[in-house]
Amino acid sequence: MSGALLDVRSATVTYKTRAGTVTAVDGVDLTVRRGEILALVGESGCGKSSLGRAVLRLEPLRHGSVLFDGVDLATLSGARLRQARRRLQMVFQDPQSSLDPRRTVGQIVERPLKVHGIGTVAQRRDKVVATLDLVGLGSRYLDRPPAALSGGQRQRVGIARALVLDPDLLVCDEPVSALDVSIQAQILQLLLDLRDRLGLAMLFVAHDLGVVRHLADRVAVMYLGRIVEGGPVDDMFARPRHPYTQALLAAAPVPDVAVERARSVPLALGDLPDPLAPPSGCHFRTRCPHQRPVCAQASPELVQAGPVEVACLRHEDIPAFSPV
Amino acid sequence: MSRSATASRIRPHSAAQWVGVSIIAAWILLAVVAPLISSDPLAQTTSDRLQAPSGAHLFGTDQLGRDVFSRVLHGARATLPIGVCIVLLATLVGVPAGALAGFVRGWVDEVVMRLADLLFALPALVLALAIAAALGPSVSSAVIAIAAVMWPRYARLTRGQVLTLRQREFVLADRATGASPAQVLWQTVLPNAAPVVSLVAVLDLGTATLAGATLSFLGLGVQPPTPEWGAMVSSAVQTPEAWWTSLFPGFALVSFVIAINLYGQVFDRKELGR
Amino acid sequence: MSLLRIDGLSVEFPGGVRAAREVTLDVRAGETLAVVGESGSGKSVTALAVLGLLPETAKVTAGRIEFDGVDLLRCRPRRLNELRGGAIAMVYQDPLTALNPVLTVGRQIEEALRRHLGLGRRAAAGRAAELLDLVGIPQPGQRLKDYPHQFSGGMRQRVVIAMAISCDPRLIIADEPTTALDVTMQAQILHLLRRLRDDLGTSLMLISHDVGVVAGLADRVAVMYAGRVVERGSAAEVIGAPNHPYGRGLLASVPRIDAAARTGFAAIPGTPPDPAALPAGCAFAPRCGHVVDRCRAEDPPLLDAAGGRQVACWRHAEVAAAGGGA
Repeated sequence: MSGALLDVRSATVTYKTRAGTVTAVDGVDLTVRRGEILALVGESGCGKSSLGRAVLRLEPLRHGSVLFDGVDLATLSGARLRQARRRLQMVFQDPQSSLDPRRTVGQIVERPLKVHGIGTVAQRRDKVVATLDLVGLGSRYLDRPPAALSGGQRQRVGIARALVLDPDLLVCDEPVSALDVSIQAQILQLLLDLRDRLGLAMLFVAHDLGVVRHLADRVAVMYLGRIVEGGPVDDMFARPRHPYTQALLAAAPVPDVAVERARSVPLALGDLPDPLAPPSGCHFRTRCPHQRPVCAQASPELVQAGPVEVACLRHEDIPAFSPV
Repeated sequence: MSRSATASRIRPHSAAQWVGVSIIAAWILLAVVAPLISSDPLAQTTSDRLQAPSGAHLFGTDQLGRDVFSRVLHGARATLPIGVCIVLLATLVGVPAGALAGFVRGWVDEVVMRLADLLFALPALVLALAIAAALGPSVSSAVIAIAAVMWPRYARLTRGQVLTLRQREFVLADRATGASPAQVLWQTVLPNAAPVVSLVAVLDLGTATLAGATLSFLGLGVQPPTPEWGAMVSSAVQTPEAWWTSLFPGFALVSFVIAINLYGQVFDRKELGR
Repeated sequence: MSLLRIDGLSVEFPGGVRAAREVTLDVRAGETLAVVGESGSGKSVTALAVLGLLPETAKVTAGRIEFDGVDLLRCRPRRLNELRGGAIAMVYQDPLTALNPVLTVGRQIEEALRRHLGLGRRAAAGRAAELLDLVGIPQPGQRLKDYPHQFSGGMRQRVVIAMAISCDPRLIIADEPTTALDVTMQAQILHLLRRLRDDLGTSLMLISHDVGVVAGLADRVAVMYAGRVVERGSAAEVIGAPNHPYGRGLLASVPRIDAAARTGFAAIPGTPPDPAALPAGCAFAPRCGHVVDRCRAEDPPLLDAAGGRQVACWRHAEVAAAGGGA
């Protein structure tokens, strides 16, 4: 636990709908070390975005705690919370709506500095220009409104805004999902370069496994609010042990005709269950090709299996699987 | 907002809007130079009562022998500011109330909205008359009365805008950078609500001016002998054959209100489509 | 033998926006043609033009679209109407907007059946249930009476596919049919499309930005950039070893899950051109690593190249020699 920059313990996030209470995040533990990129992967409804936001206290935690550099953020308030907030920043998904349409690029990137009362006008401007340089945008963008920028450029502004306070950790909520694939690569490479130059840690929420494969150091796979498998990225992709991870990898498209043609029937059957009434025991059992009666009776805990952790009662019985 | 962007937002972009802003500008100009180009509006010459328009009196004279032309010009100095003051007061009260209601929610929302509902339920003009009468007939009581009836409109409008905006990602981003709720509301959310609210406010200038003139028409706003368009029409009712006593002030009022409506459309641009 | 032939199609939008520039494609009977490109490439505009579904502001400035001998751009509206939903069916990206929210699913399918095949009510209902079964919806008889919002995203897309195949179309045009779906659902839908295509022998024109999605289904592939087709050929050739610098860049920028180790991200520098202000010469020249002066002066047409493909690049031979794979 020492050396963990971010330490999330038993995090639970719920929200009320007209039809009942949905448990978006169900008792999740995770850690991110300094300079490390942890990817949170899953499909819609798995709770990865809610978890990312809860870490930044943008959504309330029902139970559990978030420790940043050893300090529980929930115990802080007022000025000390604002201080702590500076070290944890977020990059959002939608380049269209994540930038204030009535401000210019310069004002958007300056905003965090102003909010925290940092520096003089001149010092702030210098910092803004330096940060825009970091993300590959020149000072000529200072006076432009977001509407005048392309999706990729807007996303760079979003990253600049997150970096201007010199944070230690970035929570990235699907930052490239709304971009064309050739632009995605630019932004992802930028994030990698920034991590190397600034020693940033990242909690990277994504649904695209290809991106995760080449970006993350460690991966955690989520399904209906729970982490079902987690570990170093090379191991997880070489030998996934949870049936859901296997299904995800079997389904992820590969731009290779021979590989795609050789693929067999998809591994996750049927539909996502109603999040208001998830299946008892293991949430994935209704779609799992390996399910047995025991899976309905007990919720599997994460157990060590070689280099990874798996939450599957039958993980030892399931044959080894290689995605391609 | 950069200054050039703001300027482009208020510049007219159609012929109708240019006509509107020209008429408004003309009336403002005339109101300012009124004393320089016309005679004393209060000077009575009983020998020249109810004269039709002529070389000496461009718009004729009224039943007390006062020059209608100068009274119309000086009347602008009363009528125009009333409308502006009313809208200013109503937005000053309504916008913050609505913003807080929509952002903070909870009991603040309940209180503001129920108050607004109450005021909506009562007939506006009747209520304004009652307030003005209770405060005693004067310009300020007319302004307060009408503003009291108008602020719920802005409260509701602002609240609606704030409710939508607070879900947008850039507002979330603002919170994530560590801005306090107050900073988020006043510095990020409200400026984005401004386009819609300003459109309504500008168009309401016409309605407010008319309401002020109505109260004066009924004797509750501007008091005689100060010239005011609504009051002038009111006293002209008694002398219908002297058409110039009602036509010119009436036309002045109508032209101003129409001009407001024509120009006001300038705010109704792509902003509203966002 | 071409079933659908698009010849020199050019589409413009107000403001001088050239969305499609002399697009030439064809789909043969029983084959699957994939049209691949990113946003602004003109692929969706091309698909919409086939069925006359372009927005009113769009203008077709040149070209022919021939289906079964009929020029779809110049034929009578009635003829086009007969073809839509009948011989040519379309599957859209968003099942929510493709389905009428106030009619039951059964009613919508039956409507199409009765219109195009002239079936009576009982027969249409029976066939509708069969179709839902065919696309893998459990309890089809019951689900006929459900409304679109009662289905999950993946199920809705299956309903849309059922509607598309209901009148035995000769050609299905699918515009990003799985983009709005989760990856496991996408795999199921692609599997379904493959099965239906094999069983029914329909031709499929599949439009997508995802080369991986296309790799499993396509017989031939056309890559589009800035309104033009820049490479065209068999799927194995174009995806395996693209000869156009954009195609190579695109494939290189897709991160692969089956990589043995982390390789970082290979981006194409720069950004796509503004369709209202396209450069003279090749539209990809500003971003191209193989550019020479000729590229900036002359816009290359589709030239014959290795493996029976066509490539719109003056330097395709050098690009092909530069590397055996993406």
